Amino acid sequence: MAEADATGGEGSAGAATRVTPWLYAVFFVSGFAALVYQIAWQRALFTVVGINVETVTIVVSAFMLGLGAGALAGGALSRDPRRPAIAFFAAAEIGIGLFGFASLPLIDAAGRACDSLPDAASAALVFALLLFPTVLMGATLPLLVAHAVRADRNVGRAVGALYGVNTLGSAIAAIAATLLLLGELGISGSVHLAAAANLAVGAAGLVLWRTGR
Amino acid sequence: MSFALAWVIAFVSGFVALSCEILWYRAYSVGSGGAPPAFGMMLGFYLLGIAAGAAAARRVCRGAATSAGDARFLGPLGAFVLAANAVSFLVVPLLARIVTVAPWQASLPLVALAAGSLGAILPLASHFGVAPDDRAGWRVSWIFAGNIAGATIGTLLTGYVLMDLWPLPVLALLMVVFGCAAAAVVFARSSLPLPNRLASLAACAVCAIAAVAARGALFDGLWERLTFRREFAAGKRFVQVKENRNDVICVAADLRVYGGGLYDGALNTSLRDDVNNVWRAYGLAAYLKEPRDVLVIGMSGGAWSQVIAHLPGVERVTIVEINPGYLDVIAAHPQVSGLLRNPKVDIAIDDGRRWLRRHPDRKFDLIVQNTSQHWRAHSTHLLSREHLELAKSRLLPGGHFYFNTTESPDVLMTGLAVFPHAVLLWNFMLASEAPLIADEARFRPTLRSFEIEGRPVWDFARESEETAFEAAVGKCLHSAPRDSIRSALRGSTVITDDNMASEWATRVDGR
Repeated sequence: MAEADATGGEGSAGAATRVTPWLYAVFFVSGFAALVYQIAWQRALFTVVGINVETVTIVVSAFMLGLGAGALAGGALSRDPRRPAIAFFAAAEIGIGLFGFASLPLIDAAGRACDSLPDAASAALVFALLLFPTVLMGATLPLLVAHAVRADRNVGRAVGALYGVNTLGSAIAAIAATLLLLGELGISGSVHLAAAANLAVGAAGLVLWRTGR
Repeated sequence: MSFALAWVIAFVSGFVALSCEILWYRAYSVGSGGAPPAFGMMLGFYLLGIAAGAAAARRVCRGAATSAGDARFLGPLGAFVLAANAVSFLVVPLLARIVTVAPWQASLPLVALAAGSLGAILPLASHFGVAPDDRAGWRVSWIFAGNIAGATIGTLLTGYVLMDLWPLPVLALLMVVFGCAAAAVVFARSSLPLPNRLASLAACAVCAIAAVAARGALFDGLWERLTFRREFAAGKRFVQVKENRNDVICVAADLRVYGGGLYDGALNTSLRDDVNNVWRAYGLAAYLKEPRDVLVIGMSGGAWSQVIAHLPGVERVTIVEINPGYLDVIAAHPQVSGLLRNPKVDIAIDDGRRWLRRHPDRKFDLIVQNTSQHWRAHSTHLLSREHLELAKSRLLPGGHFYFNTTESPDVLMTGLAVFPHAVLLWNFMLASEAPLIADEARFRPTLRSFEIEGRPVWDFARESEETAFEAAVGKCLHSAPRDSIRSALRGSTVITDDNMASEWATRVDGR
């Protein structure tokens, strides 16, 4: 178990210990929310900026680049063992959740702005819009890996388990969105559900941090 | 394994994984007939596979806590890379065979199996390339970012560039050869005993050569199988296939057109052999006197646009079509190719709704929208209340909106919610803010003397031509009025951008 030190950071030394299963549970929910956003936001963006292949490419690329940049940002944050990686993770989730609640009006406003913008400027606007949440999403894996590796000293196990549960959450979300969420809740209901999940994950992350788990 | 090699492996696996996902989605989109759940279900099983692969990698790493930089583990990693590519290559050919005997969903475990092998690569590369110290998170973030960079380039290069250059079977072959080469590099750098290493390299070569040799048999009748599914027969062959990054367009011997695996009209303007019910286009002349400025959203094979461009009084036709591949299809068929030379016609390649939003200054006497099935993925983009309101705002006073409801009660309900006046010509709703009245006295002579590119539509010297003419007149004048439409719509939903009702309320197989 990683011990929170007096400054709220995480211990870097000591023997390997077990990572709390709660960490996997919260990362599962985090992955679930992320995929609901991806499907719902893509759909909302296609509605306002078009479903031609150029727009689809821009939206998918923006997601990817944001996740990549976020991974590096999360990695950079995790370099200093005195920093509480789990607290940063919780903050990222809360940030994603807050953005989630505001996301659809923002996408609508961006769509209206795109109507009078050249294609390149529209693409830049979509990129900018998605950058904030996707960077936060991308940051979560390295932050939790850092937290887990400090606990049990095995990179493959940490990445395999965290990447696995996060992806499993995303897989369930993709199927649930298809079979249930979009039909029953629509885009807005699905996005609000994901945002609430992010806030719950953020709160759980803060609890794990404060209790040193 | 060095950190640099781990990064390269993560990058390559990201590239191959996303490239394969794009190819698979193309095949699933056609094989499901454009069903909305196809993408989500395929993605779900793809991610399930990735998660299972990551779990398998976790087991491989158990007890190997200090193996960063250890080349011994490149052997199993190479095996995962090779297996991932071999299985990935077989997904599309197997899907094409499965859909001829079973629902497309039956093939989804294949996607999970292929993605599972790919999913193990990232954790394994991380484990064997990153030391388990305080900077593990930082180093893993670079591996993760490398994987995402590969995935992004896969999206851009394969999805945007290569799919416009080569057909899917060629790209699938390219991926498997590339993947086998990557596996060979991993095996070559491993510390396997020399005989084992040579055997592993030989396995990579055999895998690549076998894929090249078997490509003809594996991809034979690919689009016919995926399009016709359980109605596929060995002799059924398309006479034209146009693949590009937008979609796949296929033309059958009877000149029916299939876009993305779904019937999308026919290359026919004849009322005598009316296989595509093109009378609904001619029927506009019964209700509209002289629609001078016309917008057509969705051109497909161009038959409807060809008729509309020759309606009495039409001076200008603007066509917005999202897939430029249809231009090649139209150019190859004389029944409709004149459309491309007609000086009255302008064709814009764009999303129809986006085009409307970006041209607020353009107003039309008539907007025609012959979209595909109401349950198809993204169909509500052009059937929602918001879109219909947008179209209405682009009509000149007294203008008309004519659109294909594909017999969906939800679409009909939405049309009635937006327009105060509407009639139904079979499954097409003609809607307006002005009352709609068919003028038989004007329509009969108009239809009788209708010409396309100077050639009369009718040849009354032929036997039974008069009967065919009367039948066409009867269909065009037999429209259902608003009140009778509404009475049949109890329990229907007005489609919005948010609820996407007609897409998600229908059967999962989309048929």
